[in-house]
Amino acid sequence: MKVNSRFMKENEASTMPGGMPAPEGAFNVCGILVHVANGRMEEVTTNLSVMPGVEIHAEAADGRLVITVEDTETELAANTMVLVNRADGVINSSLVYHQFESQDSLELEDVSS
Amino acid sequence: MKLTRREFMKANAAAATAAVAGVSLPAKSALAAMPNEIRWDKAACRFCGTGCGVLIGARDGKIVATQGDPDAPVNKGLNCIKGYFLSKIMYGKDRLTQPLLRKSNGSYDKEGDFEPVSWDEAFDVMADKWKEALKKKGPTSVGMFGSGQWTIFEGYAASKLMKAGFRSNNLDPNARHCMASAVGAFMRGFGIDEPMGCYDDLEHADVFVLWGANMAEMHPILWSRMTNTRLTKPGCEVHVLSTYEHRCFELGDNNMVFTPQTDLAILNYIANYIIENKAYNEDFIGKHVNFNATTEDIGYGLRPTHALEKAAKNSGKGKFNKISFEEYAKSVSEYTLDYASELSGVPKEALLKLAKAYADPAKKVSSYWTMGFNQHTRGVWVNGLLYNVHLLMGKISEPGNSPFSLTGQPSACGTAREVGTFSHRLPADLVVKNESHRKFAEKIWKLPEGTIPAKPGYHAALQNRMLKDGKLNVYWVQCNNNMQAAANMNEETYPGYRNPENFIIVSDPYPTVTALAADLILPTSMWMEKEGAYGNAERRTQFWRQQVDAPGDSKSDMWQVMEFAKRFQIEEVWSEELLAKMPEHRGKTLYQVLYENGQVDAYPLQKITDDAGNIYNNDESEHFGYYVQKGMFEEYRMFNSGKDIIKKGHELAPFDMYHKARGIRWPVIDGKETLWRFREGYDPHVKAGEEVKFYGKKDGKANIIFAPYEPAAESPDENFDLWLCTGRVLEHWHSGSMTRRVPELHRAFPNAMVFMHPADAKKRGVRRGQEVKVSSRRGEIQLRVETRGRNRMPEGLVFIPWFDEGVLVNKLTLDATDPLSKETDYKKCACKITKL
Repeated sequence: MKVNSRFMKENEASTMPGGMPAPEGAFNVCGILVHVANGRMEEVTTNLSVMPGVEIHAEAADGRLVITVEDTETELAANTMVLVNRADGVINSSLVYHQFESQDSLELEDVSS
Repeated sequence: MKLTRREFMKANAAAATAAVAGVSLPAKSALAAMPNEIRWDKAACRFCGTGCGVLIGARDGKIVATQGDPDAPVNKGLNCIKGYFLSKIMYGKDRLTQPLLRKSNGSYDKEGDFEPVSWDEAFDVMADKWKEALKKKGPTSVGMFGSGQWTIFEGYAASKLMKAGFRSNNLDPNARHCMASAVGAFMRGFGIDEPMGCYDDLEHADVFVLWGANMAEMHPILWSRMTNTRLTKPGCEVHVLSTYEHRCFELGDNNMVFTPQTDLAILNYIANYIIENKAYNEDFIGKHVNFNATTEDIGYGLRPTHALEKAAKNSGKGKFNKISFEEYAKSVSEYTLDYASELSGVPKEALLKLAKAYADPAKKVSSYWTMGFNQHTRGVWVNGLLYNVHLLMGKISEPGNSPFSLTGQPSACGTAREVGTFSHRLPADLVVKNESHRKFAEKIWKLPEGTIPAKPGYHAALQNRMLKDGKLNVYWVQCNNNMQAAANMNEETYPGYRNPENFIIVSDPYPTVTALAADLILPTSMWMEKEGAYGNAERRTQFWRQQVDAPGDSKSDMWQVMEFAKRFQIEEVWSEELLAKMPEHRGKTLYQVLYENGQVDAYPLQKITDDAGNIYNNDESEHFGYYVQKGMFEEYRMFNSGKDIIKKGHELAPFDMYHKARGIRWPVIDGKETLWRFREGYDPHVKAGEEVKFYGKKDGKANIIFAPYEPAAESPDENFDLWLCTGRVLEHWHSGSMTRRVPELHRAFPNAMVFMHPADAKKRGVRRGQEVKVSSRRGEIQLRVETRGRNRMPEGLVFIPWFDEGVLVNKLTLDATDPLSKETDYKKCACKITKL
């Protein structure tokens, strides 16, 4: 049989020699530190807060924002992360934390803290 | 209080991020500590040469989370966007888990289709081919192409297999495509490889100059450190030079777009400015520098039959001769401000501002470069011309004054360069050409004198040419995607892989373009599926433990190399004459001679644990019955840290120390790392009173080497009227074989585009988003036009990234190399764009 590359459909891929079972749909959460240009904090927080899946958690004294970005129905965290990085007034952004879980387990399980 | 898992994940993400920023969060989030179901351990990032520390979160045998390591000095808890790939790259849906061999009717057939086979069958066929080639044509007919992504242990094991075992120097890493020019210049200038400074310069410098490095997108963590300094230190300035505008220009105080290849002239102008204004550091150059001039008109590293090689007066010659300071001054004097500006297209004011920054004795200057300098047909020269500027001013080897070559791969330094997996090298900067170096290696490896061949083997570009010409017949590619990566694919790469005389083996976790062009594919354990070590660009060596197990029958590159060696009786690979010198090796397998030598197998199996008492697997050690990584490393240390070493300055710490530390920068003397080399007070190899000593050279002096401007191998003309530059984009790493397998990022940047100036598009009657044909003298591809976006092209130059296997830009590129470093110039050839 022929081995194709990654552009094959999922059901084909899982029948390929050495193919892995198709992974469950994953849900992604990222913690990101956003460096904001001097004097533009208000503008940036306004813009970021309307982006899908973005939540602003804290603002550091040195002009950095602590945000989380998660997958939403319309936008994946990976895309949003790029949009945050390119937003006006953002000098730089750094990913600090990334976790992904299978969709199914998300709403079922309660975690006591 | 109850949280859904989703909220819990978010709280963890926020808490970890806030901790790095030094902010405390409101109670709800702070309640969520690290979930104890996830096991965290330290590691080094899989991607670029920055060498960020990451924490790996594993659960149920799978990596489910990553975060920037707050204790890592390189990145202090931050990661770049590529950190997002880390937990996902091992789980692409087309991950290979069994060896695959091309077969028809049940047996090997080069024209057959891939079928799954056992490791036994794979190695049987492979060993047959290997033995046949050795018998017919000898050691020069077998070869291996390795990687700056190999772990240190893997590179070392492979180097031993090829150079000592098969007695073939036809071993080269893909680092040839990325670092060889930097290496060449270090050896010529300083007699020892790798930067004298370190990342701490990012906080110490007053002036930063980027020469052909898009640091904002390719080294974002270093960029964020530089950004912090620029924004917080009064008077700090950033100069950016490139052949097109990229993200770094947003922070730049002096932005310069220059005509390709004219960096040679700009650097000579700066040297000229320094001399004309008597700004040079007379004391420093008097004590620590020799002046030289290099041989000129050296060709373009193409096949000897190429018209450009025939036309060159001194094709391939690297010799340089001592000259006086006055002769050097005269040589650079023709590079006036007018001439440099006219040639480069950079306004005079900008060049003057740049020259003044270097010439100001009160300003500390750090210069950074990557592929713009290295992938250059005069790469060794242009690296050297920048050292000339720093040396004239004495701005070197001290905090903030630093010419610094950045790297693109995680272990281009640690593995490719330090272990010496190049076709001319041995560990610790030793070379095969030097008899005493060979003897030293043979002594450590317990081999008869004369085992290692003296002649350098085929380098990367030459390997492809020799495969095509049928002189290299059995070829093993590990840990890279060279079919996609090598230049001039149509004419020089593909024909060799499919040459009926040849047998090609590719070890990879995924069916890459290269793997699919091979005859045998071996499934490979990657990154956290094995215990490993990388060395980054600032001489920092970093270790990690095996975090998870590899899927199916995947095996690490080191396992493959060692296990394959068992297939050979020493009599099958060594001549009787050689064996007679060490008859005790008779009857042994190659594996026994190389690895069961009382050194590599010296450390017994042990339980691998971290401080918290977690237990980790180590597949290689369990299979071979001893602590393989430790044995490899401790034997390797005999080259750079033993009592009788030939070249000092590469000293490494004992194996166990690295598992405890967040990386250690060599030379490591008395358990202490070295931040700045060659200067008293920082480098223990420089004695009190010596001030500065470039001890890589016998007289302790560095070389300033004059080299002129010479044109590129191919420039635009009336038939092919545009410069073509290739490179990377933020979202994808190199050929995309890992990053394109992360579905959401694949969607973010799915296909390569041709970035061009709107006026160039208009002239050709094409619009943004339209599909066009891009062709060169060697091939053509079709892709869409981008006239906006992050990279803004000047008129006359287009940029195409090379990550996209659907749009193979290396069908267009020319395999011209630096004749000295043999590194390909991927930044300059001529192309044209036509409407479809």
